[in-house]
Amino acid sequence: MTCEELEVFLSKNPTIQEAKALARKLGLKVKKRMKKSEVLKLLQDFAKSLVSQKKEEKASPPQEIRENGLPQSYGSDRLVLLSVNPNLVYVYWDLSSETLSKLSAQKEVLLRLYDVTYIVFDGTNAHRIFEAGVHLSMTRNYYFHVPMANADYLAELGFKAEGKFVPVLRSNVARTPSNTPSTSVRQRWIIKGKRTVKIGEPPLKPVERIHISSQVESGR
Amino acid sequence: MNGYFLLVLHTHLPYVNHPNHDLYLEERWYVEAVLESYVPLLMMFDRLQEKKVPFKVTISLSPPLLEMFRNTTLTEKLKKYAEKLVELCEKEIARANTQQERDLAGFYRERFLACLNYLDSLNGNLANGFKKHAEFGNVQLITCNATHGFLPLMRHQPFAVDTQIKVGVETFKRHFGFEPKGIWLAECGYHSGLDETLKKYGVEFFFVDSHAFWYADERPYFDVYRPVMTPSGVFAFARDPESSEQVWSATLGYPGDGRYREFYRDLGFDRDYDYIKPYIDKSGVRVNVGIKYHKVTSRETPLEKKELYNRDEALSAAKEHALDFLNKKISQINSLTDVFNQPPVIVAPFDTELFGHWWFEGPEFLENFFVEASRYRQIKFATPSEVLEKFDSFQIVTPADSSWGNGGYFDTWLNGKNDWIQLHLVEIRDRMKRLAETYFEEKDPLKTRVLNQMLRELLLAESSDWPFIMTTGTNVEYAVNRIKTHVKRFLDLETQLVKDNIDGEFLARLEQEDDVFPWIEFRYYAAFQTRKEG
Repeated sequence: MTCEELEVFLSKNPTIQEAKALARKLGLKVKKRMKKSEVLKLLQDFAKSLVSQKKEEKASPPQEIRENGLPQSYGSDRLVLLSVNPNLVYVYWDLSSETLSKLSAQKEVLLRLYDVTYIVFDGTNAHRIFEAGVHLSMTRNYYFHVPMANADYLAELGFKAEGKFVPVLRSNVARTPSNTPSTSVRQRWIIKGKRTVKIGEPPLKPVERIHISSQVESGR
Repeated sequence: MNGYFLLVLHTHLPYVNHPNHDLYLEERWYVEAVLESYVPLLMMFDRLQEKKVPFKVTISLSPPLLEMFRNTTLTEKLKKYAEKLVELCEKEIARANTQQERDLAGFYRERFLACLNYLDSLNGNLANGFKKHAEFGNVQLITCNATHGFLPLMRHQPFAVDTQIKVGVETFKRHFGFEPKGIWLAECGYHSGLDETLKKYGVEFFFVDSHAFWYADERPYFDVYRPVMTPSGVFAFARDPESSEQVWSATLGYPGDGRYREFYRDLGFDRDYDYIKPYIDKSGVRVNVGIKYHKVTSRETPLEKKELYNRDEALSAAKEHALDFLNKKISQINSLTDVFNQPPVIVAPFDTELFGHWWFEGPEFLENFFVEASRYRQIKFATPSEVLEKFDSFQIVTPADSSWGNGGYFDTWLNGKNDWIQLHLVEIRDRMKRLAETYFEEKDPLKTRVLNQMLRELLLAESSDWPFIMTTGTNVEYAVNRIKTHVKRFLDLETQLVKDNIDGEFLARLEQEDDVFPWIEFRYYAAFQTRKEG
């Protein structure tokens, strides 16, 4: 049934029985005690959802779908990760209609957060992975509690197919703030008219990879 | 041996300008801050100078505030407002039942008249008053990032951070005619790498909260009591945790003393509706009018039982507290000197509105503090630039990512109440960058105006005040509306530009309403511009 057909139906002032029958036919949840106005509201909302779906299909500029004057989406295909504090990061996404339909077709849409501290991430070598199931129709963002301050994180939005995670969007890297004093005993000083002076232990070279097998972590 | 004390007053209000309305509810933030804090502080500086009392204060003036200072429509509203208050005081003198009430009404009348005179002496622009003291050398003026945007949440879009700093420095130069040496980063928001951008625009120092030093990459030898140098050669000063606690703690702070003026009991709510109506908000909503006859009395006393304010009594409290604070600072300096065997640097930053607006007697407290301290040798007042001259060596440290907000990180500006704004801010920043690059060579004056206005709308949307208000829960509707308005205006202008269908009238209206930074250049936003300069 198209949106127009539905609107024609609604404009004919149907009886409550007719409205309920149609709503059931469309797969909407109709409760026994519902008033006529409630059933009609249900159908109107459904009609509206058809409109917005249609707009997205046409790939018209998404900013035309406005709530309170602002677009709900810019169709930008973007995953943004921001650190909130040493133990919390925030991630939100904004999807194009293509990506949305691609992901919506999947059974299991997942949001992953990788700990990529001190590594060049190649998709498989994260120190640890956090995962959250995502209902795209209900969720547009997510807060991850993270165990480590002063660590680099990166997020991916994707889906699981045949037990394997397929990333669709990747975020920027975000570093969580530090919340403990440094363990370094090194001191560097600048003295007017002189070079930098170093006191304490020489710095260690950064660790290339913490000794945890990411193979095990990612279940591969 | 002695120690240095740096008083830092951070002065900021979001840009609120509704030129096509009578005094707007939120424009009261500005008129109240001017009448209750800025003018009384400037008058206090004048008195100290006349008395030849040594004092040094670092004052950051945020770009939106400087733009409000020069906004003549707003200045007219401010004057009208003060004149109305004088009128109200006269009615109050006539209706007073007791001599005490009559005296109080008379006190306010004189105070508002003095403010009006003072504004006139500055030709209506408060920046002149601050500049005067900067020229005497008692005040070091510093800038703030463009619209007080919270920088750690923009770090993944470095061109956005860059523009906030550039516009902050530029605004200061345009208003004062000289370069700012230092910056107050909005909300003390710092993230590693920001020092490089500051360096690029000639900023020599900035301020961070204490834990930015405590959790730095290497331990600060002098704790928070000495500025450090960041790897890019910019200096950072950290806040002394004790000073702010002593002055401003909700439970232990001085402003809670029973002799001080009670902020929350105001004529705007006390008087009969018809009588007070001409002096409250146009919509008829009762608001504070700034005339308050009562004292705190005690914390437990309900508002309606508060006793009448006694000015002399309040002033002696301000003196007592100044002495107490001075003693605390001297003993702090003594014990820090014992620990380090070196002179400490104590940095005490506050929001300027604490003095006068929230704490009515705050300016007199500061005045007494400087007067009394002049009798002691242990405590020396200094500006940041002077401190940097005093020492020969500095530790090189990268401060930790931090802010002075609740919890010390970014929670206040990013949480469930305000996270929705990120979608829009991130998007319009990217669009602005793309357009700045596409239209970089654009010569058409109308298109250039559209692009410049888009950058203004973007910057106004970035103000940290809007997400802050959403978190704290007062005036939320206004804050939400402001973000939506600026984003929508940005998008509408973009559509007109791209479709080559520019509505000149619409553009002119936005230029009149959102009229910050008239000299702004949309090309700031081009990424290659950023790289070229860096």
